[in-house]
Amino acid sequence: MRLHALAFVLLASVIGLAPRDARAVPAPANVTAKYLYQLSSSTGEIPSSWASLIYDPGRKELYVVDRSDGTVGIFNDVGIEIYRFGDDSELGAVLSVDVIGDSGDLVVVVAEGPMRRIKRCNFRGEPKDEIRLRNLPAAFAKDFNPETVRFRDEKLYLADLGMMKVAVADASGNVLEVHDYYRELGIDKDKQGRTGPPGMHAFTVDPEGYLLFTVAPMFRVFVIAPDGKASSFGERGGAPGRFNIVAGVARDENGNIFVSDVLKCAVLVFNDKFQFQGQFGARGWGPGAFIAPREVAFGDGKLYVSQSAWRGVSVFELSFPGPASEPTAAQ
Amino acid sequence: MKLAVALAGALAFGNAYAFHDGGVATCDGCHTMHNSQLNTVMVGSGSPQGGAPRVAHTVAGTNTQFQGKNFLLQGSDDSSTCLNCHSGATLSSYHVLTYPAPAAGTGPVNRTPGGDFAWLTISEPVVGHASVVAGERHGHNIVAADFGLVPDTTLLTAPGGTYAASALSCASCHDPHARARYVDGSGVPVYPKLGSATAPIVGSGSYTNSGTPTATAALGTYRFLGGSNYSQMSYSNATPFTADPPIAVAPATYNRSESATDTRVAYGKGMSEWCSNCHVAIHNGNVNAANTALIHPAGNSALLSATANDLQGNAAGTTIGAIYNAYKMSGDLSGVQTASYTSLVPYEMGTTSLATLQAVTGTAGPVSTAGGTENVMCLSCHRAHASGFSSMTRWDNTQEYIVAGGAWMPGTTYPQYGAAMYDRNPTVYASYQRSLCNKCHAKD
Repeated sequence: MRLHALAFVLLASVIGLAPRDARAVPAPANVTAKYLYQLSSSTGEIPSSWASLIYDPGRKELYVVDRSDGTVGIFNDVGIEIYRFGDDSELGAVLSVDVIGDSGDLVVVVAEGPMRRIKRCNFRGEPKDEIRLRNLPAAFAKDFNPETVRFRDEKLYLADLGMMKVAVADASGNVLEVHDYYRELGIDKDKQGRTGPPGMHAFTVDPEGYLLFTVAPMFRVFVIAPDGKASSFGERGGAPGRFNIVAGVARDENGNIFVSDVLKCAVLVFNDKFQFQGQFGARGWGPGAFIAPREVAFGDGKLYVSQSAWRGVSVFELSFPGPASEPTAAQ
Repeated sequence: MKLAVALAGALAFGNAYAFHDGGVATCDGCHTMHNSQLNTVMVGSGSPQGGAPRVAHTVAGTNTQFQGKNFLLQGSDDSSTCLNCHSGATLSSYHVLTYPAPAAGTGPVNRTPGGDFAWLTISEPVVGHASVVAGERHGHNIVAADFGLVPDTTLLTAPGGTYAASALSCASCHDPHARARYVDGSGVPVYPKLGSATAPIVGSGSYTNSGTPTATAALGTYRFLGGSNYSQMSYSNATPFTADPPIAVAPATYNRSESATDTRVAYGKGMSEWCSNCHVAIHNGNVNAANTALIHPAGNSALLSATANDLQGNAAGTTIGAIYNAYKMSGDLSGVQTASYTSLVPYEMGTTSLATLQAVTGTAGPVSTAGGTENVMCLSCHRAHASGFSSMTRWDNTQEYIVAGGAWMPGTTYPQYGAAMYDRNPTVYASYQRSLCNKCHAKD
């Protein structure tokens, strides 16, 4: 942890102190965010752009997939890289990764030309075998090419973001169910000038089994509860609580939802009723500021935010000092 | 998990399904009026620091609360503002940049007709030579600080013109405020002007299912390309455009692999004339006797019905269009008009009729005889954004063969070749296939 990071305690806005860098000041209503540090190695901050983030709550480790070189960095709970794999030709260019429960093994999606393969690896990222999807309906499989994987409750969730399709399988690859969310959500395919799916910007599954994804052209966040009930929220606009370009999404154990906005350069916070609680961040190059924040991941009270322009991954500590407020601009 | 049945009513998406809707988007989608939100600065100060590679901001401004960046932009610069949405790691209809840049040995993921700007980050080995084609030779080098896209270091101004490479951005070609519009099916754009009235834009005019504009509900022009008198606000030295935007329509699903079928954009008229807004001296729209410039013709008058050598000793025994229709691959001229179209060598239809363009489907080639209206254009050979090849050509015309021994450009270490050919199989061509210049000229 870098000591200078403590200077950006965002509680300053509450106690009336001006932090050194005003860009790091959030505008909290019912949430405060304290900028901690950038993910680093022993030699300094690790640059990356729009890295994919996966938090392993069991080991309190963060997996960071850098698609620019197809490698995966593993960081401990103070943001220091402890291992990196994928930097050889054996595995292939990594697109997504998650931990297979208590086994410690990893499920990895790699690119081989335009196609993707799903591999089971040991904890070092060394391939053990390939997971081949079985019983995938032919009509669904026709244009299904997943690039994102999550493992929750003994199930693999494989998402093709562009096609808005998700397949759920057991750990061996036996497909249990499939979802074409473009169809299931009734997105208006007859909207003038469009017929194709608008695509997901981000997809994740939280530890409780909630599926969360964002669709930027619709300015909305979608939440699919474990019982299948679908909800969504979001309105377009630059006002507080509205979305310019919605991107990453994550959910904490209390149901709070964190959404990054690439253009607004902020993280917006909503409670479990989708009521806007506040936002933090501003466009800038200083500590705690963002350049096009993309993916977010939550774990152990920390929010991880990946950015563009080789800005790497910023880490914030969140707290919720007050009761939730009534809805503001969202819904 | 089963999706709840009572879903559609609960979600109520409204009409929000496109940022632009063919015209200017919501103002606060791109701008901040006061650079303040919840009493906090939105666009902060500072400069890039540490790490690599990083590039400097290109849009100035004080960046303090109540004093934002130039043009009140929320983004770091013009193109970075656009690419916040129009880029990503996965193929999606509106993505034009694979970002982060593809890992070594892999190609960009997007297959839009205009091409993926990520080719600008990929250098291409040259067969038989130690040198490489620098990434910047692959396309229009738009400047986007947040995405690592920097100005062209070789072509400092537009070839054939004066437009500065350092100012090139998405807004150099696309009018973000989209004034040009169609108010009827004639395909002649109109512009709102002081002292007159015209219809508001209600949707995109870029697609086969865009419908028909009316006197009260206009449609935007193709990709809201800048219209006559358009001048990019952030470039003080720009010469206003003289040509109207070209007319064209794309299929609704246009960003897709072409491994099985081609993606056919119905280009109508005016593309080359519009390109010449910046590339003035490089443009020559005439053919044959009128062609005194000795530059390959491209434009509304460069008709494919122009006479050509019929390969039997008759200098004017056939037409370019007839060769296009007959050409299948090197040495094979047994093709037919109904199956001759290829998106690697597209052409304009020579019409401004929206209805005619919206009805174009299939694989039929041009009318090859007198009266044919089709013409060659800049985009017959080049992609508009970027391609996998030098000079942003649709195929590699720097090599003798594009296929040899049944494989793409054998001997190369250029693993992205398949992506550059939009996932086509090399077997669709001759086992020794020469340049696709021959689609119109059949010299092979």
